[in-house]
Amino acid sequence: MGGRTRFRKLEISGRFSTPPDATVLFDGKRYSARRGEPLALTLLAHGVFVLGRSAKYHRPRGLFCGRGVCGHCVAEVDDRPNQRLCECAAADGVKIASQNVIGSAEVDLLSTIDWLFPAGLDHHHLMTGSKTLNRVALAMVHELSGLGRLPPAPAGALALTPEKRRVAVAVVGGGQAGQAVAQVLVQAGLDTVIIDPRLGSGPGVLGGMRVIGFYDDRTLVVVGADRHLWLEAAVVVIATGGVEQLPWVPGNDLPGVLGRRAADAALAAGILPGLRPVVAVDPEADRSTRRQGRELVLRLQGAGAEVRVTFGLEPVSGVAHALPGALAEIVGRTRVKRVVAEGDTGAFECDALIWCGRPLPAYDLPRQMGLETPYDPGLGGFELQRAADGSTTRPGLYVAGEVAGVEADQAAADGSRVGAAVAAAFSAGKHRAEVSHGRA
Amino acid sequence: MAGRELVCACEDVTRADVEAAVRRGYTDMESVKRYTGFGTGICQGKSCVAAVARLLAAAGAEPARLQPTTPRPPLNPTPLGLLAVGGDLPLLYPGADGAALTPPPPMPRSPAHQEPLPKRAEVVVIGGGIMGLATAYHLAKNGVHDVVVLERAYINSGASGRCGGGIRAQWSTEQNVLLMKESIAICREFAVELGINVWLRQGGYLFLAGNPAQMEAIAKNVALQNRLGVPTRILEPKGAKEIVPDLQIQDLQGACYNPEDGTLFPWPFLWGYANGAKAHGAKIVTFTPATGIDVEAGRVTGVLTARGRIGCNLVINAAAAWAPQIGRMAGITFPNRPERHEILVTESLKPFLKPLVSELGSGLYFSQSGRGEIVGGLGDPDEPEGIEMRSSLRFLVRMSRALVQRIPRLAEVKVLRQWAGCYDRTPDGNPILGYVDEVEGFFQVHGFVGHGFMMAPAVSKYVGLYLAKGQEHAIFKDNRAARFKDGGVKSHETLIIG
Repeated sequence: MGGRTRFRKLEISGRFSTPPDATVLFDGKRYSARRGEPLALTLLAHGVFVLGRSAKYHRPRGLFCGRGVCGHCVAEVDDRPNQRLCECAAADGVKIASQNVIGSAEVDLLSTIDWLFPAGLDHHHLMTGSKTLNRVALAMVHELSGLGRLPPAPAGALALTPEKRRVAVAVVGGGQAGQAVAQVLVQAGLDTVIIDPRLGSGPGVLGGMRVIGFYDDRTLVVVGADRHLWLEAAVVVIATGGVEQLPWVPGNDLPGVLGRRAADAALAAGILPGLRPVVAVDPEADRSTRRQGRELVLRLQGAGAEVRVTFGLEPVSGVAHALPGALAEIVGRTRVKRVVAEGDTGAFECDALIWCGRPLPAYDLPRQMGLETPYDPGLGGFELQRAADGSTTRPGLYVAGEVAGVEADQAAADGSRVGAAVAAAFSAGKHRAEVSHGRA
Repeated sequence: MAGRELVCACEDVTRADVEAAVRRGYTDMESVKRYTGFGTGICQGKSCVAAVARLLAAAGAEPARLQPTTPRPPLNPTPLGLLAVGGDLPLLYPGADGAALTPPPPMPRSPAHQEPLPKRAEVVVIGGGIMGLATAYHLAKNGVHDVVVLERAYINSGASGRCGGGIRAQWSTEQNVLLMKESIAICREFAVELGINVWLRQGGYLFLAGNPAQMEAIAKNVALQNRLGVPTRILEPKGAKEIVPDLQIQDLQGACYNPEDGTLFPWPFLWGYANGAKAHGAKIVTFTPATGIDVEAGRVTGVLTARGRIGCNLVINAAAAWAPQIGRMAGITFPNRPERHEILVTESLKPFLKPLVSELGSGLYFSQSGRGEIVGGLGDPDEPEGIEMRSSLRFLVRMSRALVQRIPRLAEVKVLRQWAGCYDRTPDGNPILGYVDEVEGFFQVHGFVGHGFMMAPAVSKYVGLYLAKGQEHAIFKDNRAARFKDGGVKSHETLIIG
């Protein structure tokens, strides 16, 4: 350790009894860290909001989803490009470098593109009027393309051979619904695994691993940092939950705009998402999201943050402006400085905007497995269809919890119901614990 | 600022960008994805698809017709090194050893009710890929304005929009070398002539040879190319390494390199020709498959679709992998066979790879796109014939192995998406061009074996001049459909890759 490191100004006071136990480098500067915490939170603790620049307009980018879904918080970590800092654990000596930056992450020369072209830069028709200018412009654009740099070859080649495993039930997603499903199935004596990158590994849990696809009509390909597994299951239960969306207002991509779950993760790690955050709940959010928003305000206050303004929430004690209307704009140059309320009812200074929107179903995997995803105008997104017991048009495929359009507060109960239905289907001989198809 | 809501923060696509795309006529999810780039970044479309759907619904799309963009595995960015696993290879395609449960992905639908089809046209082109669109452009430009192009889905939905975007003059027959010299010259002028950037980058093609037979083939081809004015050079392995410093060359005997070859971005290439054709009066009709061809007294009289019939005297079959099906509609059997070829793309990186690299033995090819991604494919010797556009784990594994072996530094580079398209393979590797003997008014422009994309600029020009002005060209004599029956096969193109 040692060396000059910075004070963790957003660390919740009184939360820790020991000093930080590691030092990481970001763009050459040293920051104290707590081993194992996500690097994005290490930097947040120091008030570092800008982690890199965006692909085209060099707009500042920071943490948003906090759970390895969006592409906001990517940076080079130990020379590996495009790493999500919310998914990389802090360890002593880790080197982080912001990407697509000319100058510094805070002051990027090419961010001029953003204000030179306020209506957007139409790359399709850029300089198509003149052969010479066109060639120059295209060569320049190519030189500026790309985010990270080609990493060095890994010291030892991985040379993996795929692990192969067959189970009765694979539960994809270990949130409330997935856990509930698995609990019922394990009690029923069925060989069950949960796959979730946010869980630790253990019996029946493929932690730190992700399903990257469903192939050959039978194989879930599951990968982790140094594992590659071909999993076959008689039944697949998908409980991949919901994906938080950006607030639908100008400035929605500014650093300091955080999804609710990222704010929750920061608080759980002992870090404030901001000293003076505004909490905004989507007026169209469901009851669970409103409840979560309200509880978040209370937790923020309890941790020492000053929450003066909320949107879309019933008044909470200590909140000066509980605005019933919607958010109209988020303002700031490199991070959130101010939010504007709809209908010119006020503008409020702040250092973070925590957005509580209704997550939309994470339907990628079930859609790849052949499920239809019709558009629901009420939801403003695509949804999966299933029977009441969680079964779908594909034999042996069930969906449970938020991915199936169930509110967060009912996700666990839904998972239990679907789990019971799956167990009953096995008892009835509808599915066999032995995977019947497949190669030896 | 109005319209500055970010729809896709990975690729910096704003609400205004989506609205501008809709105003230009890109109104279905897949086309808006391709035009704006939304959903092609690190998050792989997890945070943007719904926002675009809402904008399209607001712009008049029918909610019941909206569907998300086609899911492209892997579902999370995955390093090539993790995918380059050893051991037995997985299946070629779902159900290869039994019945498949997964239905093929649904056909993309038109986002809204479509205008009725014209009752008549002078020419109907079947197939809105590069060959059909470029042909329509050259017909209309040469005075045949009353042209209708029928595309079964959206523009770029077929092989043209799924290819690697390579263009090269390194071929093994004189005709192909000359056609491609001309095509490359046209590509250089394309952005200004057709008003849209295709991101042409002449970084060269580097072909790698691993045995004496391949070196011999190189020597023969390079002599031909040099004679025709193409500056291809033969290189020692270390010469290849000078061009691509990270290349693994231990197993190589040599290479050849033409610095004038290159790559371009496929999608705007098609839009450019489509818009050029429209500007000259042609109609491009999407989401409308041809279902039949009316033939009366030995001549074509019209084309049938689910939305009605278009009467015409000339039908151009530019349907590539579907060309044999279209042929059967007129009672004609063509020897081409569709064959799946798979491809993948990685995260985008700062420029480090100049040429498109290809191995002569394995058919591996890869290049760095104008946006910085590594794009590449690898043919599978066991691929059966048939129209199949699903992605396989087998390809993902084989391709990852081949890439990491050739450039070990790629091990930590992450794959974002994989997909597949179909080659349109002929017995001699050369296309089928011109009228057929059996039916009058039925013109063929297909059979380009995965290389129609790069040949389209020159070939479509000659098709236009031939049909509109009666100008003959050797390609129509040499590439007659009847050559396979009457012993007229003259040469085999051997430099087919992918």
